[in-house]
Amino acid sequence: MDELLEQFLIEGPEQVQHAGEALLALEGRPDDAALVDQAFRAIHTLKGSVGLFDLPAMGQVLHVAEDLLGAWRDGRRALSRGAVDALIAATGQTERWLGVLAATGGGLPADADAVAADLVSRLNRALDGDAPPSAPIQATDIDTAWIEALFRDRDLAPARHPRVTALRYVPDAGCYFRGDDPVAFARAVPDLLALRITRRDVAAPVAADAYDPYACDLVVELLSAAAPEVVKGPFRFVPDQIQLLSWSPPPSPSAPVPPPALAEGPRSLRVEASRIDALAQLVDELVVAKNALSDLAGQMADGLAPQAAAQILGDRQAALDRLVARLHRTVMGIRLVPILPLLRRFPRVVRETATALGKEVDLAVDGQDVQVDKAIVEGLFEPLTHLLRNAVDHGIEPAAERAAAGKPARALISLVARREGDHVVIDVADDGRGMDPVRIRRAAAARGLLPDRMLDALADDQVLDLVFRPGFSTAEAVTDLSGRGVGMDAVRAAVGRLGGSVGISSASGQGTTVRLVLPLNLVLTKVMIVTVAGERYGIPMDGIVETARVDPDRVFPIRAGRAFVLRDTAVPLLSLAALLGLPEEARADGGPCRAVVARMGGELVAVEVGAFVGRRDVVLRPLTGLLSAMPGVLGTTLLGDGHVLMILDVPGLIAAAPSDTAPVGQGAP
Amino acid sequence: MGTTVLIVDDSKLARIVVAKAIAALQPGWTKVEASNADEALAVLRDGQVDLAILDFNMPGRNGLELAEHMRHRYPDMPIALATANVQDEVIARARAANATFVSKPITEDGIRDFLSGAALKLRAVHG
Amino acid sequence: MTVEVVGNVIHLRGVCAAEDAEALLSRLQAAPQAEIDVTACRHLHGAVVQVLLAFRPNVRGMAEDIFLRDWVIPNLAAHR
Repeated sequence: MDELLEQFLIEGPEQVQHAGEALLALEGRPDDAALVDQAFRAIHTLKGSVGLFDLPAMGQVLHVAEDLLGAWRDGRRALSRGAVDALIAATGQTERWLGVLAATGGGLPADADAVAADLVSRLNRALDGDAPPSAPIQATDIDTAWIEALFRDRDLAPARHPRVTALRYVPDAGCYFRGDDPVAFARAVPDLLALRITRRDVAAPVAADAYDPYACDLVVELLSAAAPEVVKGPFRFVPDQIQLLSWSPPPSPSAPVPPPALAEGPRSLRVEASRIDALAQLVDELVVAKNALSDLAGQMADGLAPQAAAQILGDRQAALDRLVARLHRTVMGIRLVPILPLLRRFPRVVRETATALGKEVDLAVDGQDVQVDKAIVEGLFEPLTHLLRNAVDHGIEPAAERAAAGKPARALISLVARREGDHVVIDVADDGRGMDPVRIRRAAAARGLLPDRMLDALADDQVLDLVFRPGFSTAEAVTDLSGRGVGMDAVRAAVGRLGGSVGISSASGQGTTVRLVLPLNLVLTKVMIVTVAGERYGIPMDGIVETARVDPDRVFPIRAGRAFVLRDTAVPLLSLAALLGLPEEARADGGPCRAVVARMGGELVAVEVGAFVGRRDVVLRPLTGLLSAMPGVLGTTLLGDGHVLMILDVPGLIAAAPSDTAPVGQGAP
Repeated sequence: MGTTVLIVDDSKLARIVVAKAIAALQPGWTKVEASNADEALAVLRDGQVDLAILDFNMPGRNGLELAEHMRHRYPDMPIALATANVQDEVIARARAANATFVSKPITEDGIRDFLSGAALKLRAVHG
Repeated sequence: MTVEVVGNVIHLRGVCAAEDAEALLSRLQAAPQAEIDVTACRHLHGAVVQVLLAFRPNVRGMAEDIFLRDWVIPNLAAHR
């Protein structure tokens, strides 16, 4: 990702935040000139920055938004609800696009042009003075049925063509006299995937004797694998007669999209200068400690007695230990960011959802001084968005129902983060209709989620937890329960990947609270992922000296086991499958033996695996309860695809192995 | 009666290039030239011009303005605007004046379609 | 000749330009049951294509030009 774009992705969200806050505040204080100015300046800056990149959809939206805000600021237009809604929608969409840019490294989603067209027309309507009716959040006015038909008719596979350029050309009747030949234009399009040439009005009968072949009545529709700019080429002189879109087919149901792995997030970080100063100080102290060691080496060369040397070495090592611990804490501290800016993005989300549903909902946010690891903040946006949308959609009753229940018309959701020990607790609480354990029990029984006697054994508050099961994440479940539903299993999975947990409590008729508990510090462990007997396991990198591929001819028997020579040393070779008590995998004949070489008690040991899969930074969750005493397993982690990976303690496994698999002593081959 | 093409461009070099291209594609056609809008209008008044290629970027009245002016007097004349790129604002006005675009720099391939479309139109209009 | 009639078959040969649409049209008006042969065809101008789409004669022959063969001719639904 280039430097300009990186910088844009740092400043852009800040500008979006300024604009959003100003716009929300303006609703209550429409005459506040300073707020209008703040919103205008933020959008104006964004527009200028976007101009540096090739992002026409974003540019168009910001351009019109700036015009609208400019007209408002100059007194040429008065505030209208429709205008504010449109501006807030534009701000929200800009924020989402910034997120996509960060993830893709510079590309907007396939529907960006269509979404932009919709936003631009809403903003233009507001600019021209009409207040448009509240537009639904995901409206697009562009019909893509013809694209889908083309895609289907050619039997194109979504997996092979995740994104295509679609073009529809409707020339005017006199085009032949200008020299335009629609067939020649189509011929000039590279990488054609589909082409449809039809008469504009297929149903109209042809008057055989009065037909004018020079009144063009053709419509050309095509799909191409080439980029839109390229496909546009032959049509560059008739841009007003074409519709050009980048389109992605919906994925086939058998290919679920895995959520992004934890370690992949935006690469830069805003850090307080004082934290860098603290690091610089530590570096100075490390240099001193290092010098003290070289100093000791010098003294020993000069004949310092071993016992005295051992004493000094012990002191120096202890000092280094303390320094490293401080270094570790300081670096982890740099990754700590306040949680409040994240939480303050949500009033807008709630407002958009509430407006779309015709409800009035306020969101109160409190994050105090809570600071959490940057990765946690990044990983929380989606689950919290989901929970809040759910709360507005299903938790909050329509105004009439609230009135009947004696509740205020404006519903209140609170989003509060606070620190408890070395955890962060985030509560999403609403004053809506709550959840009814009786109905959940019934729904669970109907879905066969648990055997009846187990259901009966659950207490009411345990029953609520069932909504996190995949079986409940269906639309019918949602209407059934009139409470939570869609996607709660995804929320639990996302929070689990961050090393946290989520629970739910409710009082029927009064409201529901979803509580997330997360570790303050995300300790990421580097692991190597290997396969053994067809299963994946993780091995912490800091125990691994190297990996080796050994020709089977070079493996020789040694006493009861096997070994191979690695740079003049015989290294015992154990089988990880055997250590784990798993069946041995048949290795392809003649294929190399793959092993992970570790250091145990000062000696090298190699452990044979099936294959090397890769390396990852993962959140290691130690085993709890009955499993914590199990030797050989350090913990588990949840991978992006939902798989639970066991992280092995290889030395522990070896030490615990029965004697016929334990390493035997070294010796020359 | 032959076909006469009017070439309008403030650069003599550009006019030579266009003339050569037309000569290659339609050797029998007559070519007349003008270096600005006023000269072009004088030529149009004086004699028979059947189609015209106008440079877009001319000082004074540009090609688009000239095309709009010409369209009032000559509703059926094929008119092409030679331009390096087309902006949205220009498209609408060109469409309204029923002017077509050809790429600049002018080449045989670039004007071939315009010339054949013009020939088609002239046959249709004049029988 | 780009548009040539042989018996009850109208052969389209070489590059069929806009002007050829008129010739094709008058042939089809005279003999609505005629078949179209595109074996020797290298390009069909839009005006020619729209005549074929309007009258829907049977089109036969495998055009040598790949673009015509794979993309244009299949749009003339009665192609065999």
